[in-house]
Amino acid sequence: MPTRKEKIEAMLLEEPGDAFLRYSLAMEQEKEGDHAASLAGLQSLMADAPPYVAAFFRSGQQLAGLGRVEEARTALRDGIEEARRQGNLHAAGEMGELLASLGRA
Amino acid sequence: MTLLYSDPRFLDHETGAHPERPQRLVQIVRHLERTGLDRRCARPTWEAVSDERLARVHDLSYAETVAAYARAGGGRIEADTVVSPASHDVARLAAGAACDAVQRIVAGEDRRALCLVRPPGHHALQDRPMGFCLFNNAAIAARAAVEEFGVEPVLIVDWDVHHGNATQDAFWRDPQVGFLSVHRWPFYPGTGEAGETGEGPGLGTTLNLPVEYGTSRKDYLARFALELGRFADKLHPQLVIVSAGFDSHRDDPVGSLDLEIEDFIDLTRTVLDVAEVHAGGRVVSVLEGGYNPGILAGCVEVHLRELLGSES
Repeated sequence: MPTRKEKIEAMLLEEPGDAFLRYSLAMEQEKEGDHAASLAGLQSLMADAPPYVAAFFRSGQQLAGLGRVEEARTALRDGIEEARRQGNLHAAGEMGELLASLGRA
Repeated sequence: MTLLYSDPRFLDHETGAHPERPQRLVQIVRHLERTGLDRRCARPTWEAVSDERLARVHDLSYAETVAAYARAGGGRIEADTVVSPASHDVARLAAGAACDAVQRIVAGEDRRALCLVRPPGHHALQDRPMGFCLFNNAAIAARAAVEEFGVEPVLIVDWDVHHGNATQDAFWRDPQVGFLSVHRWPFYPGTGEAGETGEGPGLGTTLNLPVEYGTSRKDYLARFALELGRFADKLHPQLVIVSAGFDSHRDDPVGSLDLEIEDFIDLTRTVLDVAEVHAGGRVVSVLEGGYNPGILAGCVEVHLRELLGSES
């Protein structure tokens, strides 16, 4: 039986640019502990036009969990700015809370 | 943890030899006990839905009609829907569970809830029962989220094999609640064409994904994931409510769309991913259909496992 990740990969073959599927794949990679692939996938979503806001938050969470706090702060700061630009104040608020919880640099 | 709502009083909605019968919940509850999943959940207590909450979706005169019918001993209140003496109170308890789940999730008590309730709700119209349903549990809960807790927009995802016509009606012109339904079509109740997308300020906040009988599981799941992801990216929901029917399983006697139990893992995971992206992971799932009790229990098991498994 194909795994969830394999099913998403199969769907991506037909819809390679779909942001939600790419995000879902990054979530599965994170669950498997493949943080490098997950973070790379999130990075590509952050570089989309327009950037996929949820990717900044997930990236910040994941990096913080890995102890890469300064990188997490950067992702969150960029994400807050992008979320505000896109009018997504809820996401900006969530990222602001996480950023605050990480303390000062 | 996940909040799990179930109560033996739901068995008091007695329907006789009817597909929507108490045995559905009996099998689910036994199965969750056997697998130990129920012990991994928090078990809240709650009240029946108030008039105030009910009235946001239904005419109170209609609720009184149901109550009077039940008091008189019940019977078939419409072609497909049976009422017993306890049905009005039980239906209020079902809607109350969905509202309580929303209230607790919004308050941050948990991020997931599963309401194992009956009768189901998504065909119950503003002023009349329909298709085994008396009160629209998911719609009432969504309205409570918006009106009482300021959570908007809410997204209702309905994967019951039948189109959630009454939920669609409730939010047809309402941009505060998005509605996505994936369902067998053409099929009961006859609504749910792709062209039905809402009206006025609600134009574009309804999305129907009609699926023809014979569609492959792979195509069904892929379409659901793609369309739900895109719809949610447009809507940015702050809470996701699932109208969780399991009658699209291949062995369901009423619906059947060839899905297997494991496919409900994928459906659940897709909804959870959407909730993670937009809604802080907040999901309230409310049981709708599913009429093969043994299969239904298996479907609910995998659904609940995913809800639990996604907790960090």
